[in-house]
Amino acid sequence: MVQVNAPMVGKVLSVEVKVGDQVKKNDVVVTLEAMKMQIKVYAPSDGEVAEVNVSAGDVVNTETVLVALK
Amino acid sequence: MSQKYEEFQRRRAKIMQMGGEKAVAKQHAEGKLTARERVEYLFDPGTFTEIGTFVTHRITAFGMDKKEVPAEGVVCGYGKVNGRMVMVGAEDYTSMAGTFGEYHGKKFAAAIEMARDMGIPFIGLNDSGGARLQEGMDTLEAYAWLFKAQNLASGIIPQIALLLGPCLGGQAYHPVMQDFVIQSRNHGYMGIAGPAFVKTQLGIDIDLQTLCGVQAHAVKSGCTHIVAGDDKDCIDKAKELLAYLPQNNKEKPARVDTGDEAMRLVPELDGMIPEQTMIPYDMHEVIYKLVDNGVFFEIMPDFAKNVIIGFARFNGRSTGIVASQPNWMGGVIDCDAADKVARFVRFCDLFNIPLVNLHDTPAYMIGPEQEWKGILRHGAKMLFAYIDATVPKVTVIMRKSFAGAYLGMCCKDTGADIVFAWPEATITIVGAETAASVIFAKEIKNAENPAEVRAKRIQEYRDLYENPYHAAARGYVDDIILPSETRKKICASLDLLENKTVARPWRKFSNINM
Repeated sequence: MVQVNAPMVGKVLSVEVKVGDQVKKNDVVVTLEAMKMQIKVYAPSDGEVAEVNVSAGDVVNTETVLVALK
Repeated sequence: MSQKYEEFQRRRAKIMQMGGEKAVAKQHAEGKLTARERVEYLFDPGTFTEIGTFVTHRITAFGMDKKEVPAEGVVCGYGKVNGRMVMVGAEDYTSMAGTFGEYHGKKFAAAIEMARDMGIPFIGLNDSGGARLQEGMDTLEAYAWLFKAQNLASGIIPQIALLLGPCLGGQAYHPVMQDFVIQSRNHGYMGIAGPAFVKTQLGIDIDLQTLCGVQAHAVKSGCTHIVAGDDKDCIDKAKELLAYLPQNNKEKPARVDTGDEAMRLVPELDGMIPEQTMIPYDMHEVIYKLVDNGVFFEIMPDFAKNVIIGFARFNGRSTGIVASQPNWMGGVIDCDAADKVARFVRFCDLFNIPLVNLHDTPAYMIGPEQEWKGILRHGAKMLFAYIDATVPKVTVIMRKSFAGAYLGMCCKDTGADIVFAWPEATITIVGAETAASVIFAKEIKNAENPAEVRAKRIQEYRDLYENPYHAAARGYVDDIILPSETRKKICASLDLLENKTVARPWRKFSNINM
Protein backbone atom coordinates (compact mmCIF):
# COMPACT_ATOMS: atom_id res chain seq x y z
CA MET A 1 0.00 0.00 0.00
CA VAL A 2 1.43 3.38 -1.00
CA GLN A 3 0.09 6.29 1.00
CA VAL A 4 -0.06 9.67 -0.69
CA ASN A 5 0.18 12.49 1.82
CA ALA A 6 -0.52 16.15 1.22
CA PRO A 7 2.81 17.87 0.44
CA MET A 8 1.72 20.90 2.46
CA VAL A 9 -1.15 22.44 4.38
CA GLY A 10 -4.07 23.37 2.14
CA LYS A 11 -7.74 22.99 1.24
CA VAL A 12 -8.90 20.22 -1.09
CA LEU A 13 -10.17 21.78 -4.30
CA SER A 14 -10.98 18.56 -6.12
CA VAL A 15 -10.27 14.84 -5.98
CA GLU A 16 -9.34 13.54 -9.40
CA VAL A 17 -9.59 9.78 -8.73
CA LYS A 18 -11.99 7.29 -7.18
CA VAL A 19 -11.49 3.90 -5.57
CA GLY A 20 -10.67 1.30 -8.19
CA ASP A 21 -9.10 3.73 -10.69
CA GLN A 22 -5.80 2.74 -12.24
CA VAL A 23 -3.23 5.53 -12.02
CA LYS A 24 0.21 5.99 -13.50
CA LYS A 25 3.17 7.59 -11.74
CA ASN A 26 2.86 11.40 -11.81
CA ASP A 27 -0.88 11.37 -12.55
CA VAL A 28 -2.67 14.06 -10.56
CA VAL A 29 -4.71 12.43 -7.79
CA VAL A 30 -5.85 15.47 -5.79
CA THR A 31 -5.76 19.24 -6.33
CA LEU A 32 -5.35 21.43 -3.28
CA GLU A 33 -5.52 25.14 -2.90
CA ALA A 34 -2.99 26.94 -0.74
CA MET A 35 -1.06 30.19 -0.88
CA LYS A 36 -3.44 31.27 -3.69
CA MET A 37 -2.09 28.47 -5.87
CA GLN A 38 -3.50 25.25 -7.16
CA ILE A 39 -1.33 22.53 -5.74
CA LYS A 40 -1.29 19.33 -7.74
CA VAL A 41 -0.64 16.13 -5.81
CA TYR A 42 0.84 13.39 -7.95
CA ALA A 43 0.81 9.61 -7.72
CA PRO A 44 4.28 8.52 -6.56
CA SER A 45 3.99 5.26 -8.49
CA ASP A 46 1.69 3.24 -10.75
CA GLY A 47 -1.16 1.49 -8.97
CA GLU A 48 -4.83 1.09 -8.22
CA VAL A 49 -6.59 3.58 -5.95
CA ALA A 50 -7.48 1.65 -2.80
CA GLU A 51 -8.64 4.49 -0.56
CA VAL A 52 -9.79 8.06 -0.96
CA ASN A 53 -9.89 9.76 2.40
CA VAL A 54 -10.71 13.37 1.54
CA SER A 55 -13.27 15.38 -0.38
CA ALA A 56 -13.51 18.93 -1.70
CA GLY A 57 -13.40 21.53 1.05
CA ASP A 58 -11.41 19.47 3.56
CA VAL A 59 -8.42 21.17 5.14
CA VAL A 60 -5.42 18.85 5.07
CA ASN A 61 -1.82 18.87 6.27
CA THR A 62 1.32 16.85 5.62
CA GLU A 63 0.10 14.12 7.96
CA THR A 64 -3.12 13.62 6.03
CA VAL A 65 -3.17 10.54 3.81
CA LEU A 66 -5.17 11.83 0.84
CA VAL A 67 -5.36 8.59 -1.09
CA ALA A 68 -3.74 5.19 -0.90
CA LEU A 69 -2.63 3.10 -3.85
CA LYS A 70 -2.13 -0.67 -4.09
CA MET B 1 66.82 -7.58 -15.05
CA SER B 2 68.61 -6.58 -11.90
CA GLN B 3 67.42 -7.97 -8.62
CA LYS B 4 66.39 -4.52 -7.50
CA TYR B 5 64.11 -4.10 -10.48
CA GLU B 6 62.64 -7.54 -9.92
CA GLU B 7 61.97 -6.75 -6.30
CA PHE B 8 60.29 -3.52 -7.30
CA GLN B 9 58.15 -5.26 -9.94
CA ARG B 10 57.09 -7.93 -7.48
CA ARG B 11 56.12 -5.41 -4.82
CA ARG B 12 54.24 -3.20 -7.26
CA ALA B 13 52.40 -6.08 -8.90
CA LYS B 14 51.18 -7.19 -5.48
CA ILE B 15 49.74 -3.76 -4.75
CA MET B 16 48.07 -3.60 -8.17
CA GLN B 17 46.26 -6.86 -7.38
CA MET B 18 44.51 -5.02 -4.54
CA GLY B 19 42.80 -7.43 -2.13
CA GLY B 20 43.51 -10.44 -4.31
CA GLU B 21 41.57 -12.52 -6.80
CA LYS B 22 38.82 -13.63 -4.46
CA ALA B 23 38.08 -10.17 -3.12
CA VAL B 24 38.09 -8.67 -6.61
CA ALA B 25 35.70 -11.38 -7.85
CA LYS B 26 33.39 -10.62 -4.96
CA GLN B 27 33.45 -6.90 -5.79
CA HIS B 28 32.57 -7.69 -9.42
CA ALA B 29 29.80 -10.09 -8.35
CA GLU B 30 28.18 -7.20 -6.51
CA GLY B 31 28.08 -5.25 -9.76
CA LYS B 32 30.89 -2.96 -8.63
CA LEU B 33 34.15 -2.05 -10.30
CA THR B 34 37.34 -2.13 -8.27
CA ALA B 35 38.97 1.12 -7.19
CA ARG B 36 41.60 0.82 -9.92
CA GLU B 37 38.99 0.10 -12.59
CA ARG B 38 37.03 3.14 -11.47
CA VAL B 39 40.13 5.32 -11.62
CA GLU B 40 40.93 4.03 -15.08
CA TYR B 41 37.40 4.81 -16.27
CA LEU B 42 37.51 8.31 -14.77
CA PHE B 43 40.70 9.58 -16.39
CA ASP B 44 41.62 10.19 -20.00
CA PRO B 45 43.60 7.11 -21.15
CA GLY B 46 47.18 7.01 -19.92
CA THR B 47 47.03 10.23 -17.90
CA PHE B 48 46.77 8.82 -14.36
CA THR B 49 49.77 9.15 -12.03
CA GLU B 50 49.52 7.47 -8.65
CA ILE B 51 50.84 8.88 -5.40
CA GLY B 52 51.40 7.07 -2.12
CA THR B 53 51.26 3.68 -3.81
CA PHE B 54 53.61 2.06 -1.27
CA VAL B 55 52.22 3.71 1.87
CA THR B 56 51.77 1.14 4.65
CA HIS B 57 50.17 1.24 8.08
CA ARG B 58 52.31 0.92 11.20
CA ILE B 59 49.94 -0.92 13.54
CA THR B 60 51.05 -4.19 15.13
CA ALA B 61 48.18 -4.90 17.54
CA PHE B 62 45.50 -7.54 16.92
CA GLY B 63 47.47 -9.29 14.18
CA MET B 64 47.85 -6.16 12.12
CA ASP B 65 51.63 -6.71 11.98
CA LYS B 66 50.95 -9.59 9.56
CA LYS B 67 48.24 -7.74 7.65
CA GLU B 68 49.24 -6.19 4.35
CA VAL B 69 46.75 -3.65 3.04
CA PRO B 70 47.65 -2.83 -0.59
CA ALA B 71 47.94 0.95 -1.07
CA GLU B 72 46.36 1.22 2.40
CA GLY B 73 42.93 0.66 0.85
CA VAL B 74 42.81 3.94 -1.05
CA VAL B 75 44.15 4.70 -4.52
CA CYS B 76 45.25 8.34 -4.79
CA GLY B 77 46.64 10.30 -7.69
CA TYR B 78 46.03 12.76 -10.46
CA GLY B 79 45.33 12.76 -14.14
CA LYS B 80 43.25 14.43 -16.80
CA VAL B 81 39.49 14.36 -17.14
CA ASN B 82 38.40 15.72 -20.51
CA GLY B 83 41.81 17.33 -20.80
CA ARG B 84 41.81 19.01 -17.39
CA MET B 85 43.79 17.94 -14.34
CA VAL B 86 41.82 16.33 -11.50
CA MET B 87 42.89 14.66 -8.22
CA VAL B 88 41.26 11.45 -7.04
CA GLY B 89 41.04 9.41 -3.86
CA ALA B 90 39.40 6.04 -4.55
CA GLU B 91 38.67 3.69 -1.67
CA ASP B 92 39.42 0.04 -2.37
CA TYR B 93 36.85 -2.24 -0.74
CA THR B 94 38.78 -5.34 -1.74
CA SER B 95 41.70 -4.36 0.51
CA MET B 96 40.60 -4.91 4.09
CA ALA B 97 37.13 -3.61 3.14
CA GLY B 98 38.61 -0.19 2.35
CA THR B 99 38.65 0.48 6.08
CA PHE B 100 39.76 3.92 7.12
CA GLY B 101 42.96 3.73 9.14
CA GLU B 102 45.64 6.25 10.07
CA TYR B 103 47.61 6.03 6.81
CA HIS B 104 44.49 5.59 4.68
CA GLY B 105 43.38 8.92 6.12
CA LYS B 106 46.78 10.47 5.69
CA LYS B 107 46.82 9.59 1.99
CA PHE B 108 43.31 10.89 1.50
CA ALA B 109 44.02 14.18 3.27
CA ALA B 110 47.34 14.64 1.46
CA ALA B 111 45.62 14.20 -1.90
CA ILE B 112 43.07 16.90 -1.04
CA GLU B 113 45.81 19.25 0.20
CA MET B 114 47.75 18.73 -3.00
CA ALA B 115 44.62 19.38 -5.10
CA ARG B 116 44.01 22.58 -3.15
CA ASP B 117 47.58 23.82 -3.57
CA MET B 118 47.62 23.01 -7.28
CA GLY B 119 44.15 24.43 -7.81
CA ILE B 120 42.55 21.34 -9.32
CA PRO B 121 39.21 19.66 -8.50
CA PHE B 122 39.12 16.72 -6.09
CA ILE B 123 36.96 13.66 -6.63
CA GLY B 124 36.47 11.15 -3.83
CA LEU B 125 35.19 7.67 -4.60
CA ASN B 126 33.72 6.29 -1.39
CA ASP B 127 33.49 2.54 -0.81
CA SER B 128 34.59 1.65 2.69
CA GLY B 129 33.66 -0.61 5.56
CA GLY B 130 34.26 2.24 8.00
CA ALA B 131 36.83 2.93 10.66
CA ARG B 132 39.70 0.44 11.09
CA LEU B 133 38.94 -0.36 14.71
CA GLN B 134 42.24 -2.16 15.30
CA GLU B 135 43.98 1.23 15.17
CA GLY B 136 41.99 2.93 17.93
CA MET B 137 42.79 6.59 18.43
CA ASP B 138 45.06 6.66 15.35
CA THR B 139 42.13 6.06 13.05
CA LEU B 140 39.92 8.55 14.85
CA GLU B 141 42.39 11.43 14.59
CA ALA B 142 42.90 10.65 10.90
CA TYR B 143 39.27 11.61 10.31
CA ALA B 144 40.17 15.04 11.62
CA TRP B 145 43.01 15.28 9.06
CA LEU B 146 40.51 14.44 6.34
CA PHE B 147 37.83 16.90 7.44
CA LYS B 148 40.38 19.64 8.02
CA ALA B 149 41.91 19.12 4.58
CA GLN B 150 38.58 19.23 2.81
CA ASN B 151 37.35 22.20 4.81
CA LEU B 152 40.49 24.20 4.02
CA ALA B 153 40.10 23.29 0.35
CA SER B 154 36.38 24.16 0.34
CA GLY B 155 35.75 27.24 -1.77
CA ILE B 156 39.20 26.96 -3.37
CA ILE B 157 38.67 23.85 -5.50
CA PRO B 158 35.47 22.01 -6.44
CA GLN B 159 35.07 18.77 -4.48
CA ILE B 160 32.80 15.99 -5.69
CA ALA B 161 31.98 12.83 -3.76
CA LEU B 162 30.88 9.64 -5.48
CA LEU B 163 29.07 7.26 -3.20
CA LEU B 164 29.83 3.90 -4.78
CA GLY B 165 29.62 1.69 -1.71
CA PRO B 166 28.96 2.06 1.99
CA CYS B 167 30.07 5.14 3.92
CA LEU B 168 28.77 4.86 7.45
CA GLY B 169 29.52 6.55 10.74
CA GLY B 170 31.44 9.79 11.19
CA GLN B 171 33.13 9.02 7.90
CA ALA B 172 29.88 9.95 6.14
CA TYR B 173 30.63 13.61 6.85
CA HIS B 174 33.35 13.26 4.26
CA PRO B 175 31.06 13.08 1.21
CA VAL B 176 28.51 15.43 2.71
CA MET B 177 31.08 18.16 3.38
CA GLN B 178 32.10 18.18 -0.29
CA ASP B 179 30.31 20.37 -2.83
CA PHE B 180 28.31 17.66 -4.56
CA VAL B 181 27.40 14.08 -3.66
CA ILE B 182 26.64 11.66 -6.48
CA GLN B 183 25.05 8.50 -5.08
CA SER B 184 24.76 5.14 -6.81
CA ARG B 185 21.21 3.86 -6.63
CA ASN B 186 22.60 0.33 -6.97
CA HIS B 187 25.10 0.27 -4.12
CA GLY B 188 25.74 3.71 -2.60
CA TYR B 189 24.87 4.17 1.08
CA MET B 190 25.73 6.78 3.66
CA GLY B 191 24.58 7.45 7.16
CA ILE B 192 25.62 8.55 10.59
CA ALA B 193 25.05 4.93 11.63
CA GLY B 194 24.08 1.73 9.84
CA PRO B 195 21.15 -0.60 10.61
CA ALA B 196 23.05 -2.74 13.14
CA PHE B 197 23.95 0.24 15.35
CA VAL B 198 20.44 1.69 15.03
CA LYS B 199 19.05 -1.65 16.15
CA THR B 200 21.25 -1.99 19.23
CA GLN B 201 21.03 1.66 20.30
CA LEU B 202 17.43 2.47 19.47
CA GLY B 203 15.73 -0.87 18.96
CA ILE B 204 14.57 0.12 15.50
CA ASP B 205 14.55 -2.52 12.76
CA ILE B 206 15.41 -0.92 9.44
CA ASP B 207 17.30 -2.13 6.39
CA LEU B 208 20.33 -0.41 4.88
CA GLN B 209 18.57 0.65 1.68
CA THR B 210 15.70 2.35 3.53
CA LEU B 211 17.92 3.99 6.14
CA CYS B 212 20.82 5.08 3.94
CA GLY B 213 19.93 4.61 0.27
CA VAL B 214 18.92 7.07 -2.42
CA GLN B 215 15.34 7.50 -1.19
CA ALA B 216 16.77 8.49 2.18
CA HIS B 217 19.24 11.06 0.90
CA ALA B 218 18.13 12.24 -2.55
CA VAL B 219 14.45 12.56 -1.58
CA LYS B 220 14.16 12.91 2.20
CA SER B 221 17.33 14.39 3.69
CA GLY B 222 18.67 16.47 0.81
CA CYS B 223 22.26 15.25 1.36
CA THR B 224 22.60 13.73 -2.13
CA HIS B 225 22.67 15.97 -5.19
CA ILE B 226 22.63 13.50 -8.04
CA VAL B 227 21.49 9.89 -8.28
CA ALA B 228 22.99 7.58 -10.88
CA GLY B 229 23.09 3.86 -11.59
CA ASP B 230 26.26 1.78 -11.70
CA ASP B 231 29.85 2.95 -11.21
CA LYS B 232 30.31 4.08 -14.80
CA ASP B 233 27.07 6.03 -14.77
CA CYS B 234 28.10 7.80 -11.55
CA ILE B 235 31.53 8.64 -12.96
CA ASP B 236 29.95 9.91 -16.21
CA LYS B 237 27.75 12.24 -14.16
CA ALA B 238 30.80 13.57 -12.32
CA LYS B 239 32.55 14.29 -15.64
CA GLU B 240 29.46 16.05 -16.95
CA LEU B 241 29.28 18.17 -13.79
CA LEU B 242 32.99 19.05 -13.96
CA ALA B 243 32.45 20.59 -17.40
CA TYR B 244 30.37 23.36 -15.78
CA LEU B 245 32.98 24.13 -13.13
CA PRO B 246 36.28 26.00 -13.15
CA GLN B 247 39.44 24.30 -11.89
CA ASN B 248 39.54 26.57 -8.86
CA ASN B 249 38.15 29.80 -7.42
CA LYS B 250 40.59 32.01 -9.32
CA GLU B 251 39.26 30.86 -12.70
CA LYS B 252 36.03 31.22 -14.55
CA PRO B 253 34.41 28.05 -15.90
CA ALA B 254 35.56 27.19 -19.41
CA ARG B 255 33.36 28.77 -22.07
CA VAL B 256 32.18 26.31 -24.69
CA ASP B 257 31.02 26.91 -28.24
CA THR B 258 27.59 25.33 -28.05
CA GLY B 259 26.56 26.48 -31.51
CA ASP B 260 23.32 27.92 -30.13
CA GLU B 261 22.67 31.51 -31.26
CA ALA B 262 22.77 33.89 -28.28
CA MET B 263 20.34 36.37 -29.80
CA ARG B 264 17.84 33.65 -30.73
CA LEU B 265 14.21 34.58 -30.06
CA VAL B 266 11.97 31.95 -28.47
CA PRO B 267 8.48 32.64 -29.86
CA GLU B 268 6.95 29.57 -28.13
CA LEU B 269 7.42 31.30 -24.78
CA ASP B 270 4.93 34.06 -25.63
CA GLY B 271 1.67 33.01 -24.03
CA MET B 272 3.09 29.69 -22.86
CA ILE B 273 2.51 30.04 -19.14
CA PRO B 274 -1.06 30.39 -17.83
CA GLU B 275 -2.03 34.00 -17.20
CA GLN B 276 -4.28 32.96 -14.33
CA THR B 277 -1.74 33.04 -11.56
CA MET B 278 -3.11 30.13 -9.56
CA ILE B 279 -2.67 27.60 -12.38
CA PRO B 280 0.57 25.62 -12.15
CA TYR B 281 2.83 24.57 -15.02
CA ASP B 282 6.20 22.84 -15.35
CA MET B 283 9.06 25.34 -15.14
CA HIS B 284 11.42 22.81 -16.71
CA GLU B 285 9.74 23.48 -20.05
CA VAL B 286 10.70 27.16 -19.77
CA ILE B 287 14.29 26.37 -18.78
CA TYR B 288 14.77 23.94 -21.68
CA LYS B 289 13.64 26.62 -24.12
CA LEU B 290 15.91 29.32 -22.69
CA VAL B 291 19.28 27.59 -22.33
CA ASP B 292 21.78 26.59 -25.01
CA ASN B 293 20.47 23.60 -26.96
CA GLY B 294 17.98 22.82 -24.18
CA VAL B 295 20.68 21.13 -22.08
CA PHE B 296 20.05 21.48 -18.34
CA PHE B 297 22.06 19.61 -15.68
CA GLU B 298 19.68 19.55 -12.74
CA ILE B 299 20.94 19.29 -9.16
CA MET B 300 18.78 17.74 -6.42
CA PRO B 301 15.83 17.06 -8.74
CA ASP B 302 13.98 14.97 -6.15
CA PHE B 303 14.43 17.10 -3.03
CA ALA B 304 12.37 20.25 -2.38
CA LYS B 305 10.94 20.06 -5.87
CA ASN B 306 9.22 23.43 -5.40
CA VAL B 307 12.46 25.04 -6.56
CA ILE B 308 14.70 23.94 -9.41
CA ILE B 309 18.47 24.40 -9.35
CA GLY B 310 21.12 23.31 -11.81
CA PHE B 311 23.68 24.24 -14.43
CA ALA B 312 23.17 25.17 -18.06
CA ARG B 313 24.88 27.38 -20.61
CA PHE B 314 23.90 30.74 -22.06
CA ASN B 315 25.98 31.67 -25.09
CA GLY B 316 28.45 29.01 -23.97
CA ARG B 317 28.84 30.39 -20.44
CA SER B 318 28.31 28.01 -17.55
CA THR B 319 25.42 29.46 -15.53
CA GLY B 320 23.66 28.47 -12.32
CA ILE B 321 19.89 28.50 -12.65
CA VAL B 322 17.52 28.98 -9.72
CA ALA B 323 13.85 28.74 -10.66
CA SER B 324 10.53 28.44 -8.88
CA GLN B 325 8.56 25.32 -9.75
CA PRO B 326 4.83 26.16 -9.73
CA ASN B 327 4.07 22.51 -10.45
CA TRP B 328 5.16 21.43 -6.97
CA MET B 329 3.59 23.05 -3.91
CA GLY B 330 2.74 25.98 -6.15
CA GLY B 331 6.37 27.07 -6.17
CA VAL B 332 6.16 28.26 -2.58
CA ILE B 333 9.49 28.45 -0.72
CA ASP B 334 9.65 26.22 2.35
CA CYS B 335 12.59 25.44 4.66
CA ASP B 336 14.04 22.69 2.46
CA ALA B 337 13.71 24.77 -0.70
CA ALA B 338 15.50 27.67 0.96
CA ASP B 339 18.36 25.42 2.08
CA LYS B 340 18.65 23.96 -1.41
CA VAL B 341 18.83 27.37 -3.08
CA ALA B 342 21.12 29.02 -0.55
CA ARG B 343 23.92 26.45 -0.73
CA PHE B 344 23.74 26.40 -4.52
CA VAL B 345 23.95 30.19 -4.75
CA ARG B 346 26.96 30.18 -2.44
CA PHE B 347 28.64 27.46 -4.49
CA CYS B 348 28.16 29.47 -7.70
CA ASP B 349 29.47 32.56 -5.97
CA LEU B 350 32.59 30.73 -4.79
CA PHE B 351 33.40 29.48 -8.27
CA ASN B 352 32.60 32.50 -10.45
CA ILE B 353 29.48 31.01 -12.00
CA PRO B 354 26.85 33.63 -12.88
CA LEU B 355 23.28 33.11 -11.68
CA VAL B 356 19.99 33.38 -13.54
CA ASN B 357 16.91 33.51 -11.31
CA LEU B 358 13.44 32.77 -12.63
CA HIS B 359 10.64 33.94 -10.34
CA ASP B 360 7.17 32.50 -10.15
CA THR B 361 6.51 32.06 -6.49
CA PRO B 362 3.63 33.13 -4.26
CA ALA B 363 5.58 33.41 -1.00
CA TYR B 364 7.65 31.85 1.71
CA MET B 365 5.46 29.11 3.19
CA ILE B 366 3.35 30.22 6.17
CA GLY B 367 1.56 28.28 8.92
CA PRO B 368 2.55 26.48 12.11
CA GLU B 369 4.38 23.60 10.46
CA GLN B 370 6.91 25.75 8.60
CA GLU B 371 6.94 28.50 11.21
CA TRP B 372 8.05 26.04 13.87
CA LYS B 373 10.48 24.33 11.56
CA GLY B 374 12.11 27.75 11.22
CA ILE B 375 11.10 29.21 7.86
CA LEU B 376 12.45 32.56 9.06
CA ARG B 377 15.90 31.17 9.79
CA HIS B 378 15.95 28.95 6.69
CA GLY B 379 14.45 31.60 4.41
CA ALA B 380 17.09 34.05 5.64
CA LYS B 381 19.79 31.85 4.10
CA MET B 382 18.57 32.82 0.64
CA LEU B 383 18.71 36.51 1.50
CA PHE B 384 22.21 36.16 2.91
CA ALA B 385 23.40 34.05 -0.01
CA TYR B 386 22.11 36.36 -2.74
CA ILE B 387 23.15 39.62 -1.08
CA ASP B 388 26.62 38.22 -0.32
CA ALA B 389 27.14 36.84 -3.81
CA THR B 390 29.30 39.02 -6.06
CA VAL B 391 28.95 36.98 -9.26
CA PRO B 392 26.75 38.32 -12.09
CA LYS B 393 23.07 37.84 -11.25
CA VAL B 394 20.23 38.22 -13.73
CA THR B 395 16.63 37.92 -12.55
CA VAL B 396 13.56 37.31 -14.69
CA ILE B 397 10.21 37.83 -12.99
CA MET B 398 7.92 35.69 -15.08
CA ARG B 399 4.68 35.77 -13.17
CA LYS B 400 4.18 35.84 -9.40
CA SER B 401 6.76 37.44 -7.18
CA PHE B 402 5.26 38.46 -3.89
CA ALA B 403 6.45 39.66 -0.54
CA GLY B 404 9.40 37.88 1.09
CA ALA B 405 9.74 35.51 -1.85
CA TYR B 406 10.38 38.46 -4.19
CA LEU B 407 13.27 39.44 -1.96
CA GLY B 408 14.48 35.88 -1.30
CA MET B 409 14.58 34.84 -4.96
CA CYS B 410 16.89 37.80 -5.69
CA CYS B 411 15.35 41.13 -6.62
CA LYS B 412 17.10 44.35 -7.60
CA ASP B 413 18.21 45.24 -4.09
CA THR B 414 18.90 41.77 -2.78
CA GLY B 415 21.62 41.41 -5.34
CA ALA B 416 20.33 41.26 -8.92
CA ASP B 417 22.42 43.27 -11.39
CA ILE B 418 19.72 43.19 -14.04
CA VAL B 419 16.01 42.50 -13.54
CA PHE B 420 13.59 41.72 -16.35
CA ALA B 421 9.85 41.17 -16.03
CA TRP B 422 7.34 39.63 -18.38
CA PRO B 423 4.07 41.46 -19.12
CA GLU B 424 2.20 38.84 -17.05
CA ALA B 425 4.34 39.56 -13.96
CA THR B 426 2.65 40.56 -10.72
CA ILE B 427 5.19 42.10 -8.42
CA THR B 428 3.95 43.50 -5.18
CA ILE B 429 3.83 43.17 -1.41
CA VAL B 430 0.72 40.94 -1.19
CA GLY B 431 -2.13 39.77 -3.39
CA ALA B 432 -4.97 42.19 -4.06
CA GLU B 433 -7.51 40.22 -1.97
CA THR B 434 -5.36 40.40 1.13
CA ALA B 435 -4.38 44.01 0.59
CA ALA B 436 -7.93 45.20 -0.04
CA SER B 437 -9.32 43.33 2.95
CA VAL B 438 -6.78 45.04 5.22
CA ILE B 439 -6.78 48.57 3.79
CA PHE B 440 -10.56 48.75 3.31
CA ALA B 441 -11.65 46.54 6.22
CA LYS B 442 -13.85 49.22 7.77
CA GLU B 443 -15.28 50.42 4.50
CA ILE B 444 -16.18 46.89 3.44
CA LYS B 445 -17.70 46.07 6.84
CA ASN B 446 -19.87 49.18 6.89
CA ALA B 447 -20.93 49.03 3.25
CA GLU B 448 -24.51 48.33 2.25
CA ASN B 449 -23.21 45.71 -0.13
CA PRO B 450 -19.89 44.47 1.31
CA ALA B 451 -19.24 41.95 -1.45
CA GLU B 452 -19.57 44.56 -4.14
CA VAL B 453 -17.31 47.07 -2.37
CA ARG B 454 -14.77 44.36 -1.66
CA ALA B 455 -14.70 43.28 -5.29
CA LYS B 456 -14.35 46.89 -6.44
CA ARG B 457 -11.48 47.61 -4.05
CA ILE B 458 -9.71 44.37 -4.98
CA GLN B 459 -9.94 45.31 -8.63
CA GLU B 460 -8.57 48.78 -7.90
CA TYR B 461 -5.60 47.36 -6.03
CA ARG B 462 -5.04 44.75 -8.74
CA ASP B 463 -5.10 47.36 -11.51
CA LEU B 464 -2.69 49.59 -9.65
CA TYR B 465 -0.16 47.08 -8.30
CA GLU B 466 -0.58 43.55 -9.68
CA ASN B 467 1.54 44.17 -12.73
CA PRO B 468 5.20 44.79 -13.57
CA TYR B 469 4.72 48.53 -14.22
CA HIS B 470 4.82 49.81 -10.65
CA ALA B 471 8.16 48.07 -10.03
CA ALA B 472 9.47 49.26 -13.41
CA ALA B 473 8.38 52.83 -12.68
CA ARG B 474 10.66 52.84 -9.64
CA GLY B 475 13.51 51.20 -11.53
CA TYR B 476 13.33 47.93 -9.57
CA VAL B 477 12.67 46.23 -12.88
CA ASP B 478 15.17 47.33 -15.51
CA ASP B 479 12.93 46.46 -18.41
CA ILE B 480 9.72 44.71 -19.27
CA ILE B 481 10.24 42.26 -22.08
CA LEU B 482 8.32 39.71 -24.11
CA PRO B 483 8.94 36.13 -22.98
CA SER B 484 10.26 35.41 -26.47
CA GLU B 485 13.08 37.95 -25.89
CA THR B 486 14.21 36.41 -22.59
CA ARG B 487 17.09 34.29 -23.87
CA LYS B 488 18.50 37.15 -25.88
CA LYS B 489 18.27 39.53 -22.93
CA ILE B 490 19.91 37.05 -20.55
CA CYS B 491 22.80 36.46 -22.97
CA ALA B 492 23.30 40.19 -23.50
CA SER B 493 23.23 40.80 -19.74
CA LEU B 494 25.85 38.13 -19.10
CA ASP B 495 28.04 39.80 -21.74
CA LEU B 496 27.67 43.10 -19.90
CA LEU B 497 28.42 41.51 -16.52
CA GLU B 498 31.44 39.48 -17.71
CA ASN B 499 33.95 41.65 -15.84
CA LYS B 500 31.75 42.90 -13.04
CA THR B 501 33.71 43.86 -9.93
CA VAL B 502 32.47 44.46 -6.42
CA ALA B 503 34.40 46.21 -3.64
CA ARG B 504 33.17 45.79 -0.09
CA PRO B 505 34.69 46.60 3.28
CA TRP B 506 36.58 43.72 4.89
CA ARG B 507 34.87 41.41 7.31
CA LYS B 508 35.48 37.79 8.22
CA PHE B 509 32.13 36.66 6.82
CA SER B 510 28.46 37.52 7.13
CA ASN B 511 26.71 35.72 9.93
CA ILE B 512 24.42 33.61 7.75
CA ASN B 513 21.66 31.78 9.59
CA MET B 514 22.29 28.06 9.92
